[in-house]
Amino acid sequence: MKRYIATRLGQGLLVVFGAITISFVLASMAGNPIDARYANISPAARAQLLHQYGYDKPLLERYVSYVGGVAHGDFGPSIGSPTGALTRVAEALPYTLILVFAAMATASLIALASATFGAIRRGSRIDAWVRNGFVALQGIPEFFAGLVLVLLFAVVLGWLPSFGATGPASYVLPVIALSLPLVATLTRLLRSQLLDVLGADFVVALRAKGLSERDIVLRHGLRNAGPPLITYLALQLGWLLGGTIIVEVVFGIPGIGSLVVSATRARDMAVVQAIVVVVAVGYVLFNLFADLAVRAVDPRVRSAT
Amino acid sequence: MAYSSEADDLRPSEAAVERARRAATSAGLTRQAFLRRSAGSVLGVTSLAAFLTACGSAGTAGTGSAAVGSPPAHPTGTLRIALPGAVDSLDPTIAESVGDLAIITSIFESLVTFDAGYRALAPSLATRWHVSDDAREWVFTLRDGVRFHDGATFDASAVRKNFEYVLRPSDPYGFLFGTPVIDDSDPSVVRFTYKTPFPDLGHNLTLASGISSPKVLGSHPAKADKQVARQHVGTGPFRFVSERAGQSVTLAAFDGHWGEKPHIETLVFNVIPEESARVSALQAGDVDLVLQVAPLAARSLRSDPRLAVHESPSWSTACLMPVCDMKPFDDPRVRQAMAYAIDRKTIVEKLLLGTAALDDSMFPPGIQGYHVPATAYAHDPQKARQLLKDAGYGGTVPVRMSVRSDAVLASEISQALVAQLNAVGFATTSEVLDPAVFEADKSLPRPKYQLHWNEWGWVTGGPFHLTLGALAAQCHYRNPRYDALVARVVVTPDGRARERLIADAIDVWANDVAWITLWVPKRLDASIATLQHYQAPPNVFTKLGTSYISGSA
Repeated sequence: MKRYIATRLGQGLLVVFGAITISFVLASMAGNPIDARYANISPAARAQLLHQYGYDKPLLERYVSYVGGVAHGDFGPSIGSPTGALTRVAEALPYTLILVFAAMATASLIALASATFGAIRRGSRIDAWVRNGFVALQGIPEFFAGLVLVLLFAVVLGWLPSFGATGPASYVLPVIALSLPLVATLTRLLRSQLLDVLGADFVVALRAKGLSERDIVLRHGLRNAGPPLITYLALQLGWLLGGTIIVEVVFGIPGIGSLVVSATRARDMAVVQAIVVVVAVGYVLFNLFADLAVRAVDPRVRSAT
Repeated sequence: MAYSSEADDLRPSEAAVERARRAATSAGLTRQAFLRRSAGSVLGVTSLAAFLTACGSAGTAGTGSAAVGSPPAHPTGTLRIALPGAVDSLDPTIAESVGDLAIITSIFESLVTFDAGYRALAPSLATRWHVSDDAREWVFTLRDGVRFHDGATFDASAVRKNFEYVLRPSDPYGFLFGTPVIDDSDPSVVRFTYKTPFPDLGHNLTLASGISSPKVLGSHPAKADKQVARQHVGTGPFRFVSERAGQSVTLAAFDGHWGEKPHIETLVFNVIPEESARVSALQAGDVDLVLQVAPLAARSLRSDPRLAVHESPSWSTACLMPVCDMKPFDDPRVRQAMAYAIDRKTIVEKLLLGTAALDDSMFPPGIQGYHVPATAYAHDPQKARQLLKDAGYGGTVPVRMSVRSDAVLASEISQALVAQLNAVGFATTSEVLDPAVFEADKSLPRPKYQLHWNEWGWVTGGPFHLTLGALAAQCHYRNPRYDALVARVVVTPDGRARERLIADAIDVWANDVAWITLWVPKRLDASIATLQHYQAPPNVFTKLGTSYISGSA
């Protein structure tokens, strides 16, 4: 087990190193932020600013210095802010994590309930309505969903705040907007897994033994359908971590999605690179946890690895 | 003969005012709107990226409605303002965005400001000033009894330290103040002495020169970047309380303000990046003031009795800027054809919904030296076609145009411009570019795009884009007569002689069609109807020191 974890972490480090390199190369290709922010300033001011932020050094030297700094947790200074790039990301990250986990939990609970219902009542009219309803939900863009939710629940009804991350109530609408597209996909995945399991020979035996369909689905079906779902959830978590931009901007949530937009506009490339690396680390960790969870749930995986 | 600091001597001549009044009235503006014209945008001069080139309007002179009720006896209530983006910098010498500057204007003050009508410079931290005949020496008498938010005393030494900071090598906007020798030997007087005439100091002092506490600047002001970035201590009506990164900035009323005490107890600037979300927040009652709403949103907000839309002209111009030394615009006839091709009235009516005024001058009314040129280019597609033929372009004339992505109605207006140009024989394609990419292309010796449209903010109230040569440089416009006139404007003290030179330069510019002014945008802010005495300036510096919320006592 320890060797398994160490191997996966080693692989993860390679992934993170790749993210560091790729983000550095892409940021360098965009040109130096001083010229982008302050076109045509005096040569003296330009030289001073380039030196201050290290852009007067050769590319390879900057890369080596950057990698060395990252190894010590230093992603460089943030342009226009007195704090370092990693500090800014660290301040923003909790808001995104709250949003992401809340959205994933909400989507998972709804998907679990609807997929279980769909498996038990498969083929019924209600099952068809629910499935078609979720397909429609999946087609709604987050931007549109967010604005409609704000208009309805904040402007017209006045039930919830329209923006910000000031308390639990302010997360309700963004969590709904973020989870809507997930619900449909999760429901379809879980339902198809359940139906696969329900078609297996051992389930025939269970039915022959006299177990109710409800017990079969809840006690045996879900457990067998679990591993692929856990893997999918882990991938989705990683995707969500980097994919909350639209919802955060619409709702004014000061997470890493909003931060990457403002940093890109301000050409604060140190912050952008720090976000890329943090998201990469998130991907690696979520995948590792998913693998460990699958090992815990599925004995076949434990014995194979 | 020295100039006095009396406002009369620094106002435009009466004749210029009258000409502008006639022009404004003919454009359908009331006298009140004309007097209170204000515009601001925070876009950069050629030499400055986003700072001096206007990007969407910013700051309005605030016609404001008649105040209801009277201000509370003590600062009361909280005003929540929606910001269009996260705070980038609260350093008054480098801040650029509308949101950052709205906060900075509440915390910091400069030596001078504008009077209530934005017609002339007025005392602020300096009570009076003298300019020598040759504009090489400016002497400011400082206001007594002014304290910074941290208790430090405001005096000549504080002013000198601040200018040591703003003139540091890494400051991108230090050039606005030239290279003066600053004498602070008398604590009540500060003297700026220049080797060559510097007539624009007064107007430039309204920009990028908010005075920070000397305690923040320390003993080495030129190296105080980090301190100024962390500590925001000025003399303004509000003091900095806290910032939640990416979320909000909170200011509180400063009881020790030397001037009119603020009437609002707390200002909270909330970050809401998405424009429709800002409008929704206002409608939901989650914010009280939104800066710069789009024309369509303003139209719908006007019908809400709980809300008020503040509309007034801005000190910015939307410009169509050809690159004058690249084909096809190296031929003045092609530039004239471009000018005749554009139907500005239709764009203003149909796309901007009337929220802009037509103007043929280089800069808007209200800017010192405003002059309407003798040459104007009304919409005349036939003439445009003929000019292109005369220039030897029998077929289509390929043109690549760019526009900043953060310009108001960037896509829609650029499509309209493309259609109008192509209707007379141009074959124009347009791209909406990220602001940094847009600015980078314009600064190239051979830009990829031969035509740009953009907004420029004349935020100092003076013709500084003319004197700094920003627009001319970006258009690669060179005319010996124009250049000579501008060179004389730069070193001529304020007065009738300078106005004549500016007028002559504008006439040459208009004749050459170096670039064209499309329209003067109006600034649209929206607030709760109970916000009183709200007056947005013509530049981007939104002042909230005298505003109050009626019924909040």
